[in-house]
Amino acid sequence: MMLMGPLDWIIIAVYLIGCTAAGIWMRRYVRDVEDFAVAGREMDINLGVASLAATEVGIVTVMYTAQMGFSSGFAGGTPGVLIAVAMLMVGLTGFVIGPLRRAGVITIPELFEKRFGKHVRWLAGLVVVLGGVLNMGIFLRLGGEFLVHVTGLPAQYLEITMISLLAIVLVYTVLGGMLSVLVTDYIQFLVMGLGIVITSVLVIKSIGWPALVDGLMQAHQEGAVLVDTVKNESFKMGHPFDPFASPEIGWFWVLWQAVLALAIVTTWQTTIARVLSAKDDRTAKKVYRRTAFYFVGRFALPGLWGAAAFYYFWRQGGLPEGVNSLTAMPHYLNTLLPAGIIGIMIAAMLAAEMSTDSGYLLTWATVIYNDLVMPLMKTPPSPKVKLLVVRSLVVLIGLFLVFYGLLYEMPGRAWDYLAVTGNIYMASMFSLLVGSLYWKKANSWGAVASIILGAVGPITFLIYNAIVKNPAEQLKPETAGLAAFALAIGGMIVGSLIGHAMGRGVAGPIPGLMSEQEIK
Amino acid sequence: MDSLVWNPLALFWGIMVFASITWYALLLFLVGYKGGREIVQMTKDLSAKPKEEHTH
Repeated sequence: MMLMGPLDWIIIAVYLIGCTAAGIWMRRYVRDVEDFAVAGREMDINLGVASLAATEVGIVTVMYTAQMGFSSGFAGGTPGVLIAVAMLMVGLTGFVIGPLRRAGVITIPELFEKRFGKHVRWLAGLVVVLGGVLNMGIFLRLGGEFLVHVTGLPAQYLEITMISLLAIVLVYTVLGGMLSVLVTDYIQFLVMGLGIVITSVLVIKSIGWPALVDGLMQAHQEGAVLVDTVKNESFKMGHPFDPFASPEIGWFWVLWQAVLALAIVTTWQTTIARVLSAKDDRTAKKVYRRTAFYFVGRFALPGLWGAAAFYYFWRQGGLPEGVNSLTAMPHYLNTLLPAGIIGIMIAAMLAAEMSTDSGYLLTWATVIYNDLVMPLMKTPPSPKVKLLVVRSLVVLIGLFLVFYGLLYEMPGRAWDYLAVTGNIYMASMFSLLVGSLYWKKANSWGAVASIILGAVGPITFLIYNAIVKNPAEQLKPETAGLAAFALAIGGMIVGSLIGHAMGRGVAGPIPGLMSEQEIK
Repeated sequence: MDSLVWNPLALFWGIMVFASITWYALLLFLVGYKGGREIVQMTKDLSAKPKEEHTH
């Protein structure tokens, strides 16, 4: 195992101190919840690109995309291509994000109150938070595992690594909110980009591109198997280039990912938070167009590291003890990267993790405050109390992450867990957003039906698969995911039509987007 | 055995990987320069913004 040298520790220390100081410095500009939650809507294009890209690439992203590369080769990068295409299309047309930014709301559920009434906003907020916080639940755990393996630290350092990471992020997020998040995201974008580029070049240089391409195909054709010696789990390389020919992917899974990609770029609250922080809808669309291709690399580059890890350990004769499909990549990087570079790599991954954690903590705290707490208050509290509430929520979510990360045993691939938990709200929120913005007959009956039905599939998946341990009998994630979209869209259409026919259900106008006459 | 590098699917992923590396490297400079200027402008705009109530 490569041990870190003094230079590596200096690089990491400089990064951590610089980033935390910049985050704390932004505190001076926070005067109210709008500054805290959406940076006073002062975000411009390049800062938006940096923030969006940094937030959506965390250690967790690097871990699960590398895991996809480890089991499916380059074909594991398919979701990245689908998200990039969806983001480019939305950036060109302004589908959903244009009218959403013009509506001037802080969160998506706030828009639903204007269209479907207060109770739909509250219910939507609840589902958004449930899906979002569960989704984030494995971030710290995976981040800690990566750092322990890549640095070669003993396994008992996992918990302390997780808690230290969170503590640093909490300090600047609680103090400076979105303003700190934007500035630290900018620094993190640069450090992370540098680390990803250097590591990718070194991986290709060490194996050689033709050797990697041919080697992965040979491993697939020969049915090469790597075994996790602790859990006695075996891993095979799927078709490394063709997602439709890979047993772990296939047409049905790709179809689910295509639908999910469109839902992610139009409803995922952490992505939408950048749309809502943009100066105007034109800026938001530009940010999308410029960030789109970043998502290809978000999957393809860590996927390359994961595929290279499979190739390396296969050539070495098997996985070392205690290493599995998730931890093979950081273990491989530990053997590959020289002193100095490993410091940049770790700083890069710390940057990735911190920007993701801070962005997500802030987003979910804002939704809880804006859509669950505020609607229950009869008289609005002072700006000082409002800020205190949001900051306390950030800390509480952070504490939840530590306990959930330590206790929850994740079944199957990390990406499938994340996609399914995100699906809890994405299916219904996508139906509600499209319905509220583009379908005049949409009303609160359809909205409630959509929220409830959209959550059924993913929650059933989580509970059922936690009980049934035999993989052959478990529910497939694509079945749960596609069922959620079908049920949510069906619920919106049927519920709205029934409500309309009975003359019931709330269907209000959205000022500036549609008038009272238009929806009647 | 002939190398699979020029196989259409392998070539597609090769282009994706190398284009991503190039794009990430390019963004480092582009976003690095322009984003830094935007932060300075944002802090100036926020300082100039009138607010009724201050929390600290």
